[in-house]
Amino acid sequence: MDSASPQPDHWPDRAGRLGAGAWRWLESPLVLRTILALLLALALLAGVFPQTEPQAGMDEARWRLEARARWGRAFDIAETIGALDVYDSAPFRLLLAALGLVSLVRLTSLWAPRWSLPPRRGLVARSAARSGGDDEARRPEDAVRAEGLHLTPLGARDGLRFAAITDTPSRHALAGLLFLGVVLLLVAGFVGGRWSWEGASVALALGEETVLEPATDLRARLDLLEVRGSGAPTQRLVADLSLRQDGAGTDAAQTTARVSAGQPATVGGLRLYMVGQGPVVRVEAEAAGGERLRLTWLGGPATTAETVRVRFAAVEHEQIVALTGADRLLEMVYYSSLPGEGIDEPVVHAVLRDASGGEILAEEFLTSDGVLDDGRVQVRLAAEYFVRVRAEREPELPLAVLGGLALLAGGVGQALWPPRRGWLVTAEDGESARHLLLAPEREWAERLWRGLAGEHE
Amino acid sequence: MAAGGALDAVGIAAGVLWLAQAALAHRLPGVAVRRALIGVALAASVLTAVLWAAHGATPVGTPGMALAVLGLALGAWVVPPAVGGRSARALAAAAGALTLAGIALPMGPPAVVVARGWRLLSDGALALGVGSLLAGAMWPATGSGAADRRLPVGTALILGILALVAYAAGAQQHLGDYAPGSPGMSHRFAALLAIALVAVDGGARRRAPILAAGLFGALVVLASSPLAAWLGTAEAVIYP
Repeated sequence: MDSASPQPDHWPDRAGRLGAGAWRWLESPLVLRTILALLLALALLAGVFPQTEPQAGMDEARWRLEARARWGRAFDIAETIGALDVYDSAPFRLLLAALGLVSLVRLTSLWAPRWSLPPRRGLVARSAARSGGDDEARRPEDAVRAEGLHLTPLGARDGLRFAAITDTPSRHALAGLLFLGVVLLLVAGFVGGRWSWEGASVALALGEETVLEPATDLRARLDLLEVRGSGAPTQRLVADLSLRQDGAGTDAAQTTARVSAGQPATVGGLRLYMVGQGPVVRVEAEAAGGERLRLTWLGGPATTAETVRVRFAAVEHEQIVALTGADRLLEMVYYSSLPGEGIDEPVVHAVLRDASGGEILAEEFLTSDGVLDDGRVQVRLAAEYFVRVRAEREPELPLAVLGGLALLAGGVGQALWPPRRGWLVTAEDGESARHLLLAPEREWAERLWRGLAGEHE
Repeated sequence: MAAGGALDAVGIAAGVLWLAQAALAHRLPGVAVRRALIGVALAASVLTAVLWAAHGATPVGTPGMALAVLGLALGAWVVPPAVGGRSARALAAAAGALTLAGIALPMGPPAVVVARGWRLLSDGALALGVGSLLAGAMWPATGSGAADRRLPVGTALILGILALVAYAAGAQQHLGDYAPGSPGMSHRFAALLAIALVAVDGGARRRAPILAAGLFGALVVLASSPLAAWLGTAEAVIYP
């Protein structure tokens, strides 16, 4: 049965009528369901199409190249229609804003009963009368209290008294947390979008130093890398970093931080995350006479050194090191395993080649440290790791944590103790009164109506 | 059958016990015997999931385990006294069929090596939540359970939220981003939205929308692992 509004049809002014209509519309299940359904369609799109990484730079460029090679023309079409960036698209943001507005309206309606309006659908109207000599019929306050509910007066007009029937404050508070959680998460997203900062994911091998935060010239150097556990599933890297900030040519205070996967470190206002790791081969070479050769990693920094640490960003990634003054090239390819060679663990295929003629002079499959020796040049290889570290400023994190917890608590409240709500219109005439109860078709509403009508047990 | 040893034995036992419950419950001599049978079947289902997790799998990462955990969720909803008669038998039959189907699928290699705790919590909550939603569609239409289907649908909502929040917590800890926009997050978000659509304002009275949302959720759960592997995004390396 459709319910009518307990308020008079003729609101004092047009703005009030429009406002009430808009409020009721925003609170209606239809609007919420529509928003949820549209969000669902976009979430599906985001789940089916790979999403571009939020961080620009080399990683995204490589990702695009690989994705285009894999998907072909479909990638371009998906990109054109915005399917590769759903969570950053205007429709998604608009829907989130709408969800936030609806959540705010529902939260206000739950926590501030004076702002609540009865929905046009989903309520049943029950009328009850109390005559002057009727001792069985309860006063509205008593009947409502007998059900463990509260009566909040909304006002009076034309001889009618309007009141909202609300549940216990704890049930309202708990159920409202669901909407508060949504609002907090959206605010956290906004704060994060405006004031958070996310640095580039930088790769660091032992002894390397790089800039973490360009704005403050904060630099990190990987001092120590500890391998904990054995075997791929349990192996974990723990990195000790030293951080320094150069200011006006003088070294500022140096500090250290220890990070590992899943265990970020906090330094000042920054959080440092280890977001990846990979293999490194440390290369050193010497001529037959024992003198150290200078090496140039062709994919790395354009400098020469006696020791280079060559990183492999992906499997089957080839890296080349030139041995200056020895006319030698060291080629290395990293594999996660080589079943054809009977190797079922990560392995580097290393080849020492004559740079001028291209002839292979020495070759090894290395699963740990090893040596390539062609009689004139000896190349020592050692297996190490590099780590990917990212620095972030996350002022929104406390809000997001609160939002997540509120969402969870509110879900429990809504599911297990859904708040009972109703509205009561009373017309009094001396000792007698007539009541119109607007409430959902539930047992508690039936009992309340019986109490008002004097039919209670 | 790819999954071998104890897991096979316990899983098959769980499936057969649920099917026996569905076929024989109304012929059993007393309530105590019936409840004992339910208890043993439930324990076997839980043990199946635990053994699967011990192998390194997570419910959403392995279709076989996803089916078995969906079966566990359906079986668990046979326990409330409000559920009886045909609904209980239908739930038990579905639990048995899903458990046996899960055991028949390849076990697959352990996929997740980081944030395992968060992933187990998130995946488990998602599969159990979707299972609860399916149970809501099979909820009794008469008797004391007819009042509404709020309990299973509400439970699905709580578990759906838990699945997303746990995933976000793991992503924040390992990626420094609680909303990474990864396929895993999108799948959980989509399943939660489907649950929320039928849970809005306790709108859990009609069976058809709940069944549709439950089947959609099951599809999302089952498709998640192959989808993530097929898409092969870069971040899947550390947090799929």
